[in-house]
Amino acid sequence: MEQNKKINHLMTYKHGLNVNKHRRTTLLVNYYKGLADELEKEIKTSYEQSKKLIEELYLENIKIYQMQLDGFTINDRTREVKIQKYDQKQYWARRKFKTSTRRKVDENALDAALNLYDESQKVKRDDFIKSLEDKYPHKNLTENESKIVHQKIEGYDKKKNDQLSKKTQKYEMRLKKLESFKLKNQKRILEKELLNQKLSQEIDLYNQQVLIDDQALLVNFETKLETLTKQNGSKKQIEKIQKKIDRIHTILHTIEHPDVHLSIHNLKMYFGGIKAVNDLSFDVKKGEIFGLIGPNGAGKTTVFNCITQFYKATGGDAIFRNKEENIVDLYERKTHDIINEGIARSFQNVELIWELTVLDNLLVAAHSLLITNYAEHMIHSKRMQREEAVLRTKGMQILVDLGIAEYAFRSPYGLPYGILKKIELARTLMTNPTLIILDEPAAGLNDAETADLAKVIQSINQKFGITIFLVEHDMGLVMSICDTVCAISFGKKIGIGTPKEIQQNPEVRAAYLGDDSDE
Amino acid sequence: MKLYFREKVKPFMKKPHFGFLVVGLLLVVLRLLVNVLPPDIYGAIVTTAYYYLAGLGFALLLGYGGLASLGTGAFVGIGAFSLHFVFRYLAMPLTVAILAGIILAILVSIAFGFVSLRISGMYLAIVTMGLSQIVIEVIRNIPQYASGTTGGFLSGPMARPLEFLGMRLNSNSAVLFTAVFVVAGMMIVHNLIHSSTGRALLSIKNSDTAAQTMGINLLKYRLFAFVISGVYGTMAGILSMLFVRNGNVSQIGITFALNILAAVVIGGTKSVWGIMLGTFVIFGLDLAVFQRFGLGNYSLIINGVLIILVVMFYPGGLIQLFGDLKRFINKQILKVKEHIYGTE
Amino acid sequence: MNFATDILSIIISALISFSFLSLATFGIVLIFKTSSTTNFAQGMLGILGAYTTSYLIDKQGVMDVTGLPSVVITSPTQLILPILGGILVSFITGFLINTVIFKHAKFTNAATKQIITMGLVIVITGLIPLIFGATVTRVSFPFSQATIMFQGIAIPVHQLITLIISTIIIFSLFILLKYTKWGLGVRSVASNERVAGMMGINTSVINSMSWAIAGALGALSAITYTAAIGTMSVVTMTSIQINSFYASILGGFNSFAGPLGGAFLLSAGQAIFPKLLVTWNLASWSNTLLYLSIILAVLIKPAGLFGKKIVKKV
Repeated sequence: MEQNKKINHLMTYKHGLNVNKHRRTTLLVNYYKGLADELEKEIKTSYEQSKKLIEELYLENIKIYQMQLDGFTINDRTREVKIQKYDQKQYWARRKFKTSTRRKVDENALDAALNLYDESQKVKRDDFIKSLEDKYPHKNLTENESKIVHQKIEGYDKKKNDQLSKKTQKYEMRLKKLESFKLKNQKRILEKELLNQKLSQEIDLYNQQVLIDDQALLVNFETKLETLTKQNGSKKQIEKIQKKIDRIHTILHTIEHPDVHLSIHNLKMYFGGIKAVNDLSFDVKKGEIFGLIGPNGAGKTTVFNCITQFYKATGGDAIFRNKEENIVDLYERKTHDIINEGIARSFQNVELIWELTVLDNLLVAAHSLLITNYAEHMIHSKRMQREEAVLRTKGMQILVDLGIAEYAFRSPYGLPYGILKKIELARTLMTNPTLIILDEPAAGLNDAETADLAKVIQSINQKFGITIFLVEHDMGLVMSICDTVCAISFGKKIGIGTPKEIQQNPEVRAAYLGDDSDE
Repeated sequence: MKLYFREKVKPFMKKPHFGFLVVGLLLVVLRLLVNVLPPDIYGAIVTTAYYYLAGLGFALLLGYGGLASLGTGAFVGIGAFSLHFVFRYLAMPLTVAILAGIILAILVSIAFGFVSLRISGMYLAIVTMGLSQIVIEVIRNIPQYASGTTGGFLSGPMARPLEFLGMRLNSNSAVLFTAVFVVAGMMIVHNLIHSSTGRALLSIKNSDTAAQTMGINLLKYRLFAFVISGVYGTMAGILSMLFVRNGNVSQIGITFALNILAAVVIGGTKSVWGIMLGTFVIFGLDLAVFQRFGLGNYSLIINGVLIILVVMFYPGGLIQLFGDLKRFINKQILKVKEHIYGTE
Repeated sequence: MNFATDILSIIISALISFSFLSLATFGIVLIFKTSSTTNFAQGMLGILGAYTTSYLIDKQGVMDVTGLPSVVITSPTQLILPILGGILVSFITGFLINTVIFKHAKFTNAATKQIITMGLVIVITGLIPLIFGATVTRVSFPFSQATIMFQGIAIPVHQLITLIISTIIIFSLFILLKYTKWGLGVRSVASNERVAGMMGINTSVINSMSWAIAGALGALSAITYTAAIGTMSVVTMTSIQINSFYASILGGFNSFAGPLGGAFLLSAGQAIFPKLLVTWNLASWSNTLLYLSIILAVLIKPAGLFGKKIVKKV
């Protein structure tokens, strides 16, 4: 029955490649756009550093000669060095004396002993200095010596100027090269953007064609269904056709309603005989905070796992409007591709990497944004280092926004649970997702921490417009921040609506909230 | 001049790569000392060096991939025997033989990798032990190796002298090869560990579900870890063949893999220097000291006991022990200083 | 006639290999279920016992002139004490291993425990030559040198006796596991050690006993095996160790019976493959192909042929 489909498997495969290429090209363009400024900064800082080093080296070199011109000749220097050494030794000897005397006598006698010691030392020191002055008397520079010193200084001056001019030349050349690189870079950017445009067109064409095909298929399937039911066809066949029809309906529904972000229809997850999720349907609207509540074992985490493709659902559809505003059937995606569509998730059990620092944990989360591959990682290419620097800055910024920047450079091991949860949250933000799934974010948090979390979630939602889909037991949190709440029990939906409506829904109250008061 | 030194050399010396270069230079110096050192000590150092390479690859797999694979021995065998076979029996030049070994290693590691996907944690050690046994059996079944050994390179009517880029190689030149590959190996592993690839491996090890959520393709990174480990092991085998000039199938079985495991675990799974320490303790001491005095069995017992103690009480390995020891000693020195000089 | 004898000889040689393998495999499963670790040292524990037995046998008679052991086995009773001694040594060693090492390693993860057993392998490998001397001439003696004929196939009496003993022991162990208090304790610890402890089961005694029994089984396996093949060295049990691992992953570590089923299949394979391959002159590849097929089977069913897959809750 699918002969009318214009899209075949080859085209779908090509489309997949196009989408990946488009995403990668976008990342590359972003990299290129920042590249020119990075390079300029690099050149400038390197130049400044070189100049500083040259200056330092120069001053070091002429210090001795300058001192001589100021009247501080070799002998004076020698004397000074020897006195320093002597004083240094005396300092430690005095401390030793003080500590050992302190053990033998009390405080008053200590002061007296120290005074005695200091006085005898003073005499010794004066004698020592005098002997030095005899041995290394001060001698003014002769004419000749003075001339030599001047020459030496001039020599160093010249050297410094040579080095500076070389560096400046190099700097100017690099700047010039940078200019021509900038031009090439611009060209590169334009090329890639053109490529992206072309890819976008092809992607759009594909999507349109899929839509047309689906609509045609829908008609086909519905006629087939009619004939089958009339002829009392096998139940299995009817179910199959019905499933296909449902899927297309869900897709069309999502297309026709631009405010629908995620559409779940008749989701079923059966583990053998256990129906963990049974015919669950709901829509998550763009930009809203959507809460899923239900007693333990109701199947909430299972729903998440079906959406993020950890489980292949037994039945039903999950249609998503991804970050490029295209409609995708999540079941056609592999688990590690979900994040590329714009969905990030956190876990009930904190799954951080204890062996890395907090900031490094965030870097892992940005894995899907990498443009370098393992070959560049093996040699630590410049591109990899720049990319990492950019990602570190981004991660740092997110940590600052969440107020946990002080933990950036330590391992998450041993941090309080509330902080760990925030780090998990920070992780989800690294890829600029359009939908964040939070699995019991307030689990294990006290009231104050939960209130803080609520504020953070709301600010993320309002500042970045990210849709939040959360599962939670803490009714205070759910009812205070959620725009829509869906209640499930034993895998089935028992109510959906605003928090107020849910609170007043008698079935929900009976199953979950308790028949008395709200929370 | 002084400026160049300050500007370029000093920052480089601070990087760990500098340490790696020093190691390479030491090995080259070793080559020059070949006539001065007693041959078994010389041999012990070179052998330790290329076993270290195998250990590096294994450590990446174990410490960062979390995959306990006992297949190291098989890869050393693949390197040694394929080099020998291609060079001697297929009469190909040396570079082709080395490439053949590496390609074979990549293929076999990919096979190991695919197997690892279906088998989890604990059983992986067993299955890889089995796979490595299979590889050894395959090698044994090749008619030329039915006896389980290779003949020496330079003996027998079919022998050809080793040549590389037109230069005649003798056994001691293998040390130079070893130096190059050890330095390159250390740098690559170090770079990988401190890159997104290393972090991706760690995240898979900690929680493969979370890793997938963040976009990490489990298959790709598993295979990568296995391939690197396999290639490193094969390089060790190739170097051993270049140096020792003959090979014995029994040397590369389970015992070898267990010894590499011991070296890595005892030294410190996560640190390039730790693994070097471990390899030195397990192989170097054994070859240079214990074998000399006929105490081979004692070395085995000590190695085994060390593994158990380290794994139970000091998981960071000896390198962690050294770090702690250093801190402890510093603290004691400070205490003594305080006692004599007081606190001001 | 030929086909029937072929099948019969295959079954018989399979049973014979199975007799050695089953004991070792059961030991591995026992330790796996109670200590959650794959015991790489099972074979070494066994060979330790075998060396002890051989030593005890040799002690019974020493030639005055050369100082070499010279024993003439006149009655089976001469063998019983040494065999029991060997089993006892492995029993005690297993017990000690758990009490001294694993009891204090309870909170390390499974991979670490594995590495500990690997360390034990190395330790015992080094220890044996030190205790018993480096020569390989000592061999445990078989129960009997006789052979009986059955349907035209020669069956050594020693293997027959081994088979009978193994069957009895395995059978009794299964009964013990199922119907005694101790067996219940083992099964509870196997299921969840922490909870079993909270229910009042003395988990350290159970674990130590399991290790001890595993040691004893390994010793019996090693003693009978070395007697059958006539040689003994530190690495003799390696192939049985590898095979029992293969058997366990083939059968599935989850149950007590699964690995035994795997062991039987493996033994059957060891008998069948050479017969099949000898026609193409590939008999030397039989081991390789056998192992490959097992790996293939495990790839298809990662939890083992008789095992169940556990889905992890995320």
